[in-house]
Amino acid sequence: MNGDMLKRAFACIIFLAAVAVLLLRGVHVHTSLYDLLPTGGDSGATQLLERMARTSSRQVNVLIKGASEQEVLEQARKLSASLPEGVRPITDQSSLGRVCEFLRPYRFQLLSPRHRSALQQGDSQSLCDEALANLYSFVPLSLYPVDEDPYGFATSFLLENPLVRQNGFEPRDGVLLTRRGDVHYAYLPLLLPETAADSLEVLQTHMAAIAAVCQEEGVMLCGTPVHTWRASSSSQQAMGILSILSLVIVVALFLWVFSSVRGMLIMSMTLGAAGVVALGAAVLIHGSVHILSLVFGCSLVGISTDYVVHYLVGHHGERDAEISPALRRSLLLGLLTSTIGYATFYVAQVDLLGQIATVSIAGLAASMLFIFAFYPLIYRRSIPIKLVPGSLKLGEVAARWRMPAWLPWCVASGAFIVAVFQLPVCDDLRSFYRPEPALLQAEKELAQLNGMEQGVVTLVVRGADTEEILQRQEKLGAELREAGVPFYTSASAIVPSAARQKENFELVKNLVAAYAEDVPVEMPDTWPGPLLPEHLLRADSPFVSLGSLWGEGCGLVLVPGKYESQLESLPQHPWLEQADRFAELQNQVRQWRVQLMVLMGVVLALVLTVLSISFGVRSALRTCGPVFAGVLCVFGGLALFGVPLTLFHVLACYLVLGLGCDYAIFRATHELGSSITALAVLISFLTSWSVFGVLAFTNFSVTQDMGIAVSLGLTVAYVLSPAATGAAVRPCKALCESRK
Amino acid sequence: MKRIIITLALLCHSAIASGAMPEFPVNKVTDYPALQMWIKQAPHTTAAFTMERTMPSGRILKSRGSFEYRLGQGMMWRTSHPVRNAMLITPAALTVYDAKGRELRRTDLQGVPSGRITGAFTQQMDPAFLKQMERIFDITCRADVQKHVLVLGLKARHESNDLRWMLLVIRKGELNNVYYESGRQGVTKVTFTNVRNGEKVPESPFEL
Repeated sequence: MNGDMLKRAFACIIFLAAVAVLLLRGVHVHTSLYDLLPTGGDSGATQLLERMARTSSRQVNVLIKGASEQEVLEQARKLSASLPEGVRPITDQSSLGRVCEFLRPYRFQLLSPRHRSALQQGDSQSLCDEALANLYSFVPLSLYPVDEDPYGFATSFLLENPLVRQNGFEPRDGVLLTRRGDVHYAYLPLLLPETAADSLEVLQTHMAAIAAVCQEEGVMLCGTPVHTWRASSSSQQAMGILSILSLVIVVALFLWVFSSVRGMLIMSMTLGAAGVVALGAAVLIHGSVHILSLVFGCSLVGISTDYVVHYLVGHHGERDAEISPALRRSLLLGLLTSTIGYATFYVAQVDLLGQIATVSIAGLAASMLFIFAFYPLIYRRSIPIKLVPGSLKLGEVAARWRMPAWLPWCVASGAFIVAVFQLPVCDDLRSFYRPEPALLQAEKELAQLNGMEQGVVTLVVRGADTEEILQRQEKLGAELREAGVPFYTSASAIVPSAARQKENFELVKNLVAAYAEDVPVEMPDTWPGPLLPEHLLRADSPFVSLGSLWGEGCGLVLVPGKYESQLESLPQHPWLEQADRFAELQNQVRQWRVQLMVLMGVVLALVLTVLSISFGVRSALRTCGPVFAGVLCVFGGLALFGVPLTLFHVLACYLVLGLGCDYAIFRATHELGSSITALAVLISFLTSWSVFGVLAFTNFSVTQDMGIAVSLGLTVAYVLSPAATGAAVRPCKALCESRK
Repeated sequence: MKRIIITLALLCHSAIASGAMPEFPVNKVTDYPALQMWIKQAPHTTAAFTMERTMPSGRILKSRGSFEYRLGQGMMWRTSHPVRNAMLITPAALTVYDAKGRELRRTDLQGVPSGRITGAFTQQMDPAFLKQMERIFDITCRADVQKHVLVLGLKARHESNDLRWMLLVIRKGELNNVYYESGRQGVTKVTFTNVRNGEKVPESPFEL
């Protein structure tokens, strides 16, 4: 078996192994953005905050605006009746009915703050009057049969609860109502099925159905799923158009250069096979893959397009299909530099970056293996691809382009200086997203109505067990009221501590005994035991967000941001602290960005070292100049235009590094005036630009940032690449001769 | 069919009060003009009432007091025994006052069935209110001129409605009885006596 056969057998084994891995282990692609967020060091509180974010990722808020209460209520009721299957209103009568039924055994121990305060103050006569009014009322005033709950304790507990009532809203007939000036509002919180949190497709289907029934004037939609739906739909639409545009440009380019699409077919097959191997490797190593790492990793695999282009252009019209030593050397060096670049992602110890590195390295290596193993065979059996005369002419023009070796370094230095002194940075995840004005307006109006216009302050209460957490939250609740905070949300406001429930039971028992004649109630003699938060979570109820307020070892208390100044007067407790998830995430993103920038420096140094070993220091410096300039110009360009540097710009620089290195290496290993090399580099640049550059025209900030950075960096690296031309020709020849 | 309703209303008081569901005709017969005429003739009604309620547990509650209806304003139920309180029902809200006239509770009625019924009566059976009522109830309104009886029957169209049915009986132009069944309150029978119809609605607000 000769060497070529061995290569082909090895390539087949790798490909089949990847297919086997994919078939046996299955492809688990995560699409939820929450999976990407760092879990943070502090497990309990962070987990709760993540759970809260996950719960909110299923809640759609429908806000109906109208001139009268009747109008908005009617519209809300009509809308409720026409909701798509699987979507349910959180506060409708049936869910309230379900929770009523669930709380029935606990109705003598759950008291609203109003009733508890009346009982504690001994104002039993007013409670008795209220019970008699309930009993003899012509309209039922309680949610329970009046002889079961004549005092209305369980009814008030439910209807005055912060999670049912929401700040500033009145529950009425399953709809939350309020008014601001002359404008009346109906608020209808809806819950999407659990599968919508994990599947973008499910979320999009449900959101489209909801939007279809919410088309009437005055109906506004907001909430996390609406943002996800709008952003994903618009980006998918833009990406679809841009993908077609990219494809048209690439096909047109191949048709013009090679006068056939055979070259493109070969390239597509190579990229497809490399993609399978990349995915197989990622599944084998990481178990599952995130859609973002797959998309970004596969973009990096796109660098291997350059390898194909160099092979096809380098062998145009030749019968000799063997890869020349010079081309092999350039290809391997290109692969090595890219591998070094992406291997550093493992150092960051971030799962997403690790996945990107695996997909990219495996894909690039597989692509190279397929070129070496199969291209000479394919080429020999089919008619060699010919370049059209016009493209050859273009190659000659490009080859005439000269550049002094020092120029890239000057450009790189200038860009570096500008970047050091002027570059602003942005690590706030929220700024990466720019919602539509209408959606922003709906969010603003809802926040103004529920008193959250200045955001939410999250307090974390710690405790050894559920009881201790609830008791501490009750203590904090009293302190908050004393500090002038009239509204807050906490687990203890929904489920009191066991001690308080027992106390409530005794208070109610004394009252019932005192008015047994006027208001007879059948009440158990002994306390039936506490209602625990986990019990309530089992009930399919409007308390769905309770799950995110209470967890192991800690509980959350949410205070409207406008009361932040009042929080300063709260007494200090060792079990109480403030949590800011956005600040935490911002720190994490900053850490990633800085880490990647430092690693970028390490990669550039490593590439320089590898090229120095291969070509000598001087030649390596000439070769690296355009790449360094390309990467640094991204930073300098952003600084010059005052665009803040984001994590995604830095990630894009790795793409510039991978592609730019290939341009410089191919230029460096070929002599001055080599029109074939110049043409291959030009085609590589144009195909890469048409794929990545168009991203700059999307309206999604992440892809836009990457598109801008790649376009700028690649253009600079390509324009300055003639400075590297022929830099490594002599060292290569010397090496070949010494080997001979 | 009208005989069934009228017979039920007049002869089967005890059966209805004990929770039996009255038979409603399948075909709706809506004699709204007769009802509208009655309201027009008696825009201000005062009466004494006795109420007998059989609660879901089987316990019976009895109360008495006075009733006042004002076209365009609402209705006031003043209970004098066994508890002294007052309840003002307008299409917009239900307000409960204690014996000292202090507001005990206020519940908005916009959009809820009881608010619609009150709204329909206070607005002289305005078509808009009737339309809203028809969405919630099957309505039967029959007048027997010879016997001077007018009966209004409502039957909930949805099981989730707390108010399952209601019968209003007007005899010789005077409010006579109201029967209704509520899921939470049980079956209630209200009998009006000493009914006085005024031709003019007082301008002063309701007295507690």
